[in-house]
Amino acid sequence: MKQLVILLAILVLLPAPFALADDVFDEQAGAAGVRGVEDALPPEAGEILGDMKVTDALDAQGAISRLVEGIGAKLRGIVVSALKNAAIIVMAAMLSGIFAAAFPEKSGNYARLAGVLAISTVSVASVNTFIGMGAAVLDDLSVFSKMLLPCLTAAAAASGAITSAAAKYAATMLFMDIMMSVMKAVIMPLIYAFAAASIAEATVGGDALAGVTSLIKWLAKTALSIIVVVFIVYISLTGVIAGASDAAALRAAKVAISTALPVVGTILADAAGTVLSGAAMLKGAVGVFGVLVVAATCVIPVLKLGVNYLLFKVAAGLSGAVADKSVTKLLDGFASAFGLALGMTGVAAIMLFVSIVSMIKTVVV
Amino acid sequence: MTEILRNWIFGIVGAAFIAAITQAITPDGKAKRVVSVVCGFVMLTAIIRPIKTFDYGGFRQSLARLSGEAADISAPLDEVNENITRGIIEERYAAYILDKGNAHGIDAMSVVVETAVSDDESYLYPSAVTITANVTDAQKSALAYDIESGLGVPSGEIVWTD
Repeated sequence: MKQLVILLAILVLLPAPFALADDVFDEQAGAAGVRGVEDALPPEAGEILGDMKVTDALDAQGAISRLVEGIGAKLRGIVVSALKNAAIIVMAAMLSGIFAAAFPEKSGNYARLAGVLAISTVSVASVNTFIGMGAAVLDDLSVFSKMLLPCLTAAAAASGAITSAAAKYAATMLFMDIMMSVMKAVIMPLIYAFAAASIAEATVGGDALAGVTSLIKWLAKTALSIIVVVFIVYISLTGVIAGASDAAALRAAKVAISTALPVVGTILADAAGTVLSGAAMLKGAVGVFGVLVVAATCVIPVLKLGVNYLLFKVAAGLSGAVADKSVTKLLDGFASAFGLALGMTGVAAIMLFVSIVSMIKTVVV
Repeated sequence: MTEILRNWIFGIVGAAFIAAITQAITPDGKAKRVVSVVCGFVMLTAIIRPIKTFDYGGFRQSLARLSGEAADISAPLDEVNENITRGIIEERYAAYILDKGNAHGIDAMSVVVETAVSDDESYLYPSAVTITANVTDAQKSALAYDIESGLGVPSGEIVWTD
């Protein structure tokens, strides 16, 4: 409600014709480095959004339609490819289970091992591909965020949130930097280690390595959770504390203007309102553009990982009726590996979403 | 930071392995219970150790450096906004003076307003006006009065040219 009142106040205070507002927007966009943000569009996002510009984001509905259409065009291919993989794996699991049941004394163990080998051969390639895809997404997001965040920070600062924009920029850049390093140096190796431990557990049989696989999975999940929770808490607190400072500064500026003569005060308020509303519009457009680009960059990898995760879970469930317990656990393990890779990509996207929305939301009364 | 996290995770994995092996080789009974408690403390120490060793100073320095970077990032846009604001303000001041001039029967006139920053650097105010027009003394006096009372520009800062 408060934000609606502020928006109406800004619109009412805007006496300048739209032509002036457009000129102000164009000048501000040039100085804020909008062209650099548009040029930094990741290729995956470009495939879905086309040659979208920041000004196109002012028509949010149209931009979202582009995103949804792009997803729809690729979804069928993703599901079909994942279904093929899952079908092969379920067949391998069931065949090994059938052979193990048919010849329990002679070749039961060999059938189980053959099933583990077949499933590992198919799945490890997928895990490797998808973790590589996740790493590529992280790189793209990192490059894009290095162009987007400075532009968004400049626009947010120009719209009145000087202290909070700087504080949020510092926090986001630092946490993104840490997160990228941690993902590549710690999380990705942990996912590979988890996949390897799951294969070893299925090969050896029994529960000897169950503790190891559980620990590795717990470590990866905990590291991701800690990073995202600490970041969100820090950004929220920064927004509250620095936002109060911005509000106080703006109130002081308004008092200073109000001490001037009435005509001067009115003109100053009009000019400040025009510039602030131009900066606010720029901030909103860049922010929405950023959100759409991050979504477009992540959506296909997330869908691929999510669909594979679900289908491997289904495969584990289906094969549970026929295959050996170790084979079922292996399938579940690979599903978890996809889940961890999905979590890795998701955390990067969430952090960027939170920081962009936090910057857009900096509205100072 | 990455190194700290990597060492933390490997520390936990190492502690977990040692705890698992120790518990596996300990015979059942009181000894095993004691060993379990000790292993629990070892795991807890491995988990909370980074909190003590974390480089809080370095973290704060990085944040301060990036906050300074944000100020540099905003500089070009701040400059543009200042120019835009100045342009709008000077245009509006000039429009006000032209309006007042018309009211006093001065039709053909051009106005240039110079602005200056207030002492507390919070706003721009009109500091001098140059009016190019063919005016009578009465019109000059009336307009100067309006400019002084409306915009606060003293008559001494108003330059009249033909």
